[in-house]
Amino acid sequence: MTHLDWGLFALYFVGVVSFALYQSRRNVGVEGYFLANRRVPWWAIGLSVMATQASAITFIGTTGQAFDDGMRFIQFYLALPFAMVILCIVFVPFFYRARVFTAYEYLEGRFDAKTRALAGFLFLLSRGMGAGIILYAPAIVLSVILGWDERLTILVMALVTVAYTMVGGITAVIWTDVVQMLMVFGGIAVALLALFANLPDGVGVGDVVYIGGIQEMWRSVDFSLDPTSTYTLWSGLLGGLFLFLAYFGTDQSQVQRYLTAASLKDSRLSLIFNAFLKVPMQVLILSIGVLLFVFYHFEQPPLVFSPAEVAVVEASPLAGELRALQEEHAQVHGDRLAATRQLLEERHQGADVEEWRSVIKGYDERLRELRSGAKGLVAEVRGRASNDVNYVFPTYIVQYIPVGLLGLLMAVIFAAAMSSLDSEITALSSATVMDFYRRWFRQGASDAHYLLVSRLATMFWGLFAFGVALYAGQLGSLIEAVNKIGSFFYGSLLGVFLLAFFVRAANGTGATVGLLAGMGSVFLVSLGTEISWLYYNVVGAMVVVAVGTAVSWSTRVRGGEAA
Amino acid sequence: MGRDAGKPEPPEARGAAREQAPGDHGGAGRSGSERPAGEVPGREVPGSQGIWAAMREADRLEREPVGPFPSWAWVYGTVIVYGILVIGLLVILTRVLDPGSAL
Repeated sequence: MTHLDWGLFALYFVGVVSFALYQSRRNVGVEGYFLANRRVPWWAIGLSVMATQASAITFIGTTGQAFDDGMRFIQFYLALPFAMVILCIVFVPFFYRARVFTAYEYLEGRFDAKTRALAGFLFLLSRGMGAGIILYAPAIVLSVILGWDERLTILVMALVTVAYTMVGGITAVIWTDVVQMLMVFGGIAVALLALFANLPDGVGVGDVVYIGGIQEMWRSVDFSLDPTSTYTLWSGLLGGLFLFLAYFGTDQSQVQRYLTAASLKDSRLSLIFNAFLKVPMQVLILSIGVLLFVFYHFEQPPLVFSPAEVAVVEASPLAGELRALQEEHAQVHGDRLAATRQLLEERHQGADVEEWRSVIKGYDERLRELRSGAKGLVAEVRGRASNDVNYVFPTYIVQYIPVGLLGLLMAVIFAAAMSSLDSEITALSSATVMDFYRRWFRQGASDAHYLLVSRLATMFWGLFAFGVALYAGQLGSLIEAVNKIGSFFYGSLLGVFLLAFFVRAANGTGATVGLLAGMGSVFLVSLGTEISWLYYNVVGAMVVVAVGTAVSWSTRVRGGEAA
Repeated sequence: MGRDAGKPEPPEARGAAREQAPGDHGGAGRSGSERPAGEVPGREVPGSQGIWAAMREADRLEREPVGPFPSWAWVYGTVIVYGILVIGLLVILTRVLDPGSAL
């Protein structure tokens, strides 16, 4: 990091905090703090919704995943446009017209207090942990770039984000999200351009696409019907649809966004905005990972990207095995580089290169095996899985991004992380205060009192996220970790809302029993089967609706008989 | 933007809004335990009258043009067609860019 990089990085922090505080100056009371007095324009909400979901995990974890596994992850997002239509038609009108602060408040009006409390508690549990993981991701970047302790970087970032969220509330969150999302768009463009610029002379876009194709890295759609395969078209369309319905329809961090709109129309437009932009954005981010894969055909990649993991193995009795793997890795890479150059030369001459394709494919597979072997050593020494996938992109930007752009990309990764973290802690705070504190502990207090408690709750959740972040490194691939945690609860929460919307006879007892049955069934399915976690949401939602309907019907019949 | 702000809200929404005391935006005043005896839980809340009735109400309020689209149905139809086109495009790209790929 040069002075210029530091300058750009510092400018981001000062600018974003100042902007947040400026925008939130007109906030009044709790409604201003949590709902921005319901006057935010749709395009700002749309960008904020996008920024909340596109965390630093998206930038770091997704690019790393594409480096190892290609574009297949895009299937996860293919149901998003369809989910947005369903949300606009079904969910948004109910929440908007109920004039609630939180999604779970709606459940009390529709069912009863215990259903609201249980749903709110599950949200706090799952997203509290999610906030910690969101905080941890950029700390990895800083630990690589600056050699700082991860705990220190987690603390610094949490302090800044909590400070402006505490003071400015949702208004500060949304408007900083807008700035941060625009920065993320810029960062994607910079990363892609820098990758192309760093390729050797004579290697064009067509060559890059061709080399990626040898290892099927551009393969975006998999029609496999295997339910244990995580990323297929069907798991994406079915599991993804339920996950997005649950995330955008029942997660307070998202529902809170569209409750800040001036009208129902604006709420819907903010989601339609996402329906169009989210998938192309993910395609571009995944493309960065595939381009990194191609780039490292021409530059020697580390066998293991995480310096910390390398250091741990080097200090263990397995250091010799790691060295042997590294030596073979360097040799195979050299062979692949020579073969790649030969392939490109003959391809440019219009010759048949099928044979070279097979040779390079063989080298790619051997390098993959060596990398897998090294990760196995890391797992053996540490006693937990390697999370090296998250270090691929940070390592690249440190080693190959030119002065100035490094500071900019650092700021972008921070922006992505902070835009998600601020949303999570303000949502956690609103659920804590509205669904628990005001509902169960202190009714009828002044607006100033609730505002103070809301700020304290924001601070508490920032500290909680900090605590979780300290242990997030043990959870493997971050992007999967966040989604897996959510999948244990999301489907069942979605089921409760579907019960509320679609089953007129449903009651509170049915909803509560259904919710518990849904979570129990997801737990059993996760223990007893190998199906992809993306299907957990489908299982949870379906069980809640089925059990909730049966119990509601049963209790009504019994009640009628008793009467 | 905000064109429907001045339009009449459905009766259940107006009822819910009237129940709110200053500084109280719901929740406590509508708890199951405090509901008057004999009242059917959730009757005053959107959704309890049935999803289709609520959606017809929403449709009535949202029949206005949305930008270049004549109604919300056109917006939703466009999004669905877009979603299908994206999948089709990715299938084609997979075949073109990964010549060895067996879908």
